Amino acid sequence: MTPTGCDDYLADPEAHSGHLETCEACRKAAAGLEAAAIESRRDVVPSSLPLAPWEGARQRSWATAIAIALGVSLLGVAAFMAVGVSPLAGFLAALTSGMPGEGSGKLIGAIPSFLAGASRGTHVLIFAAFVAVNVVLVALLRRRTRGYDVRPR
Amino acid sequence: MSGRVRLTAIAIVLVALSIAAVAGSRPPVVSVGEPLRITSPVGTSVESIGADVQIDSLVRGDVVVIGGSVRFGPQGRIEGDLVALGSAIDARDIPKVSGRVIRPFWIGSAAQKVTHDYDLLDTLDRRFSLLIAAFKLSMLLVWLALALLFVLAAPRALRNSSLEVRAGLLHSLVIGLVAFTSVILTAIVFSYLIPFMIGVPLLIALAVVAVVAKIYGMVVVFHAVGTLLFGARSREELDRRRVLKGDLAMVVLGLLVLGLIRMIPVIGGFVWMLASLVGVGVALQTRFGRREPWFLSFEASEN
Repeated sequence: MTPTGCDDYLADPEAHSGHLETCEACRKAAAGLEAAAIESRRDVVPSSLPLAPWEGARQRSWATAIAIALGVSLLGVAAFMAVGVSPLAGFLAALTSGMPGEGSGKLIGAIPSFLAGASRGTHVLIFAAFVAVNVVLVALLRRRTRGYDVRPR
Repeated sequence: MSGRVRLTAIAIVLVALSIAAVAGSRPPVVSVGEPLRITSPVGTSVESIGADVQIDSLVRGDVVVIGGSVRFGPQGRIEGDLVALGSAIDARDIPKVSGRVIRPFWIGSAAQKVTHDYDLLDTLDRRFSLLIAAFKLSMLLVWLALALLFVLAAPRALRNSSLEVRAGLLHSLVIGLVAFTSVILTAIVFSYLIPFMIGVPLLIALAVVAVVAKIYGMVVVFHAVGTLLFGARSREELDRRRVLKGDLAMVVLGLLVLGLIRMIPVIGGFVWMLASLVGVGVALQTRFGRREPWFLSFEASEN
């Protein structure tokens, strides 16, 4: 059984540093730990460590972003003008084509009719697939993320 | 009247109204998974999913087709709109539609809007078109704006997720594929609730989550691609660089590379779709970069 003094020392070594003078076992353990810590500090050469993902990440290279944005804009304007379409009208048309419009409303409005017209087998299939796919999704999401200890490609 | 009673009364009225609305409207001609042929005039709309539709007569309402081709006979005509999702339409048949031809979420609809050139409809996906390239460049600018937003708002989350993509690309892709299927099936199940009012808010919430996951995930993929191709390999290299370093540079460079690939007909669309699936997968996998577990598991106490 560990003596009470040893427990106190292990819980807070700095507050009970006097305990080392009376306990041979704790003295040996502390000496070993210090030696290991010094040795490990000696081993580490920070510059030789692999590059961490956050190193240099905070730098914001606005020049790159602005240059690419300008290049893409100029190319886009030139392409629109080459086919005889106003760049602004073309840009707005591209923007709205990716957004839900009236067509989406009509599609959603049609779904209840599809469901009403479906056979009983189709309903069973839909619910079975819904349960099965979501069970697989939950199982996949249970896996832990890899974390910073992994070396990314 | 207490709050609960009032709430119940409102709910009953809303359900009654929705049922009345459904009952009052003329039922459409519906086909699920079986080819549909319209041989005599139809006074209502026609809706088909997962099957081809042959229109040999007049349809006074709209025609909504999901995942099937639409063909017209000599007498076939639509007075309403033709809404087609994932459907093939012969460009020569477009004048037989009195209303509009709407193809949601398809960049070709933008081309149709500005040029009114229906011949474009059939060929846009298969050949290089300067107009479509211009639309894709426009969308690239939109993506750039969104990417800047995420880089400024949540750089650490983005980096966490980017690391995950590079460490387990296949896992992210599989989660993305399953999540995409799950969203479709969940939307169908929520659609059962449309007549009961709650269905529409649920569908909107699902759509918002899906869109945010897609946008965040794509920005993560841009970061991962940029880091893979242009990231510094050593500390010395990083110190030497003045411009090509940092999250912002990696994101915009990755966006540029993927955007240029997207310009290639057929292959570009496929690569962009794969990137979207990986993005959605990693967004869910890392809980939008927070790296917290979705499900807490409690281990049995040792005592």
